[in-house]
Amino acid sequence: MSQEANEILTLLNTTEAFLRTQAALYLPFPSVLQVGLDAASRAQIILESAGYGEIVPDDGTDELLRRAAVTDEQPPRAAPPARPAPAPAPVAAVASVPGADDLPGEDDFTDLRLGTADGEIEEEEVDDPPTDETPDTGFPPGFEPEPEERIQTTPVARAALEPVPEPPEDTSDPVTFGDPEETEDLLREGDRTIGDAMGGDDEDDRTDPRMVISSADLAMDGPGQDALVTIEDTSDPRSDLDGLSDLDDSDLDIDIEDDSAESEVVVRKEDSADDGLETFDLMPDDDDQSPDEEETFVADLADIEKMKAKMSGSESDRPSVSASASVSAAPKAAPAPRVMAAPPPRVAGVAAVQAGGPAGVTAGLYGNPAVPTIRDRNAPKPAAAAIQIDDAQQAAASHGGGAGSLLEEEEVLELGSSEDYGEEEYEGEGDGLSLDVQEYGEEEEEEIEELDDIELEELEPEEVPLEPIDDGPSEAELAALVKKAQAAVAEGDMEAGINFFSDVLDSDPDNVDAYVSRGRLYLDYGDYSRAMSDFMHAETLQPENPEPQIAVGDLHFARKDYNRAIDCFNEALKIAPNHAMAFCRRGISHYYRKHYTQALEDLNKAQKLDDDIPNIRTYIAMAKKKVKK
Amino acid sequence: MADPDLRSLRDRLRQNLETSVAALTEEANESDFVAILGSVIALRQLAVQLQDVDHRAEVLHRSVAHADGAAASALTSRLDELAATRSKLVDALQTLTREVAR
Repeated sequence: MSQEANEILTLLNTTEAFLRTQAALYLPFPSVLQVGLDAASRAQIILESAGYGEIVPDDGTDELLRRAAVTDEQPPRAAPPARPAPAPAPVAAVASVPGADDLPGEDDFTDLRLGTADGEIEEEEVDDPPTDETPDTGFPPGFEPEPEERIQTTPVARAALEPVPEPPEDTSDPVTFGDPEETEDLLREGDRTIGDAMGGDDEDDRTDPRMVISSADLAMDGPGQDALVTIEDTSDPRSDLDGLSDLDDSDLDIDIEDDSAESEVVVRKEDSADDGLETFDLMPDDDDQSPDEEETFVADLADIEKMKAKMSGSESDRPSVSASASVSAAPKAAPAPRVMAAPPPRVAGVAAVQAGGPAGVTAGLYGNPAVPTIRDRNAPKPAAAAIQIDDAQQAAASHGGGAGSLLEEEEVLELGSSEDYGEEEYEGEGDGLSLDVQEYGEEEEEEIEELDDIELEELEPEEVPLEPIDDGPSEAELAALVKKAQAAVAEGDMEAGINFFSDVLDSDPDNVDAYVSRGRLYLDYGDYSRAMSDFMHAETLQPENPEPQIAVGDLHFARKDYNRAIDCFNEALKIAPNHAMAFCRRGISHYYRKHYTQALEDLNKAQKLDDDIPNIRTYIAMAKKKVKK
Repeated sequence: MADPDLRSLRDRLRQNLETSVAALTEEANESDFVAILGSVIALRQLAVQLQDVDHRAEVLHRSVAHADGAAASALTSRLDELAATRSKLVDALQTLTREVAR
């Protein structure tokens, strides 16, 4: 490509950008858009009229160009002879070489010569006979090492000389290395892979650290015998049932040929360390409790059984209340069961309650303060009752609230009798609670009545001055915003124009002109989706307005979709039959569809309606020229 | 590869564009903008086509060097066609360059 052509193209690009900027600066906004459209149309007309529309024919060089693109990246040169990928040596061939089990290591290849090898290669085992051609040594041309001795190379020999690859970790890989006789024997066994059978004594080959399947356990000498697979957990002490659940067929990877053989998997769990799984264990753990706690817990269990018996027995009609369990709770609270933890009771220090009978108040059930007090619904509701705590417990309960602040003069009422509950009756002064009923005295009632008689002062409502809600800019301010937007567009600041029109639409969402103007700005940016959105908004707001239809037609025209553009102009002309610009645009669209007669008619109508349409005479002249042809 | 025709065309085009743009900015007229902008757009399209033709010719020249027999003759005939096309394009560019000056 010539440099001059590139310079011409650069010059033209710069000039076009400069002209568009100048047009935006010196022309009003609608004219700027019009200039862009008309200039593109004019350029196309110039090229077509001069016969340069498609001056470069398709001469079939595209394929060559594509090839050239490839060859430019990779210059053509003689490709080196492809070296076949080294196929894995067949096991039988390896086994046919005597001493193959003593294959040297990679470091031993330095001084190895084929003539000095321990054994000779048997000709009948060689698939490819040796040739006199230059063997493929795998080196680039010109870099082959000079042979010190004449080496008769064959694929088998090369395979024997190839460094022994690292054995794969996957024991299912059928390629293995070891005693060839043993390998052949194992291959005869059928579907059992070599890796499964060979790696029995080497625990390092196992990829799954969770289990070890020893080869001794794979005692399958014949069909019909049971296979005992022992899975020993050696690495992870937590892998008990949880780990077992992860095992599947792929983990075991044992393919037993005989279907009649029964397999048995024995899971040996030797480590039973506490792993926190006792969360669901409702029974107490002997190892975790002290003897005292154990006794208390046993007593609690006895209490639970007794209470269950009472609840289900003949006294079931009585309130399901028991205070018997509270005895065993004092002075030391039993450990809470692990199953769940109830919210703490509201009355602190409740260790035991002397209650029962019809009143039916239970506190500290099972000796556990976590179990809340239950009151029977059928029992009469006590009036103004309070819990009186004895001196021994008052100190403990002093931080708990109002229970410790009771007066000594208050009458103490016992609710029920503890005799109904047998052995766990209340004993001792300091080991329980008693319920007191406190009634209001006359003085207190009078005080309450006095409080009721107090009349509340009527507050006079303050007069709050009402402030008008700011409902946005006024019409004058909106008009000023529109002028600002138009000025910004006239100055070429399209973004500011879009922002101003957006401000106008924020305040006046029904402004059709703002929608159309902003949509045309989007169209000028090439943002067809936003432009179409604005035009459709405007059309929805004012279906009788032809401007949105014309704008949509311009959008289709810009996308060179002339058929749809003509449809839109037709719709606009239905609304406004004397719209000169709609005729002009439709005429230009017809022109590009090569319907020159219709184009000339529309352009003539447009000129009759408005002779000031820019370039209308030029368009008419072009159409006439085409019609004459 | 220097092309004297294109070089003179480039110089003339630059001069004409400067003159036209200077006259345009003094009296901003929409039709003048349309006329000169349309010409510039058309010129640019022709220049793009000229670049394309030059690129094709360059590739064909390289291909001819590696071809022989019938393939080489076919490629040579294509090169001739491209040369004719290029001549047309240069003529069109010169014509439009003169139009810009008016």
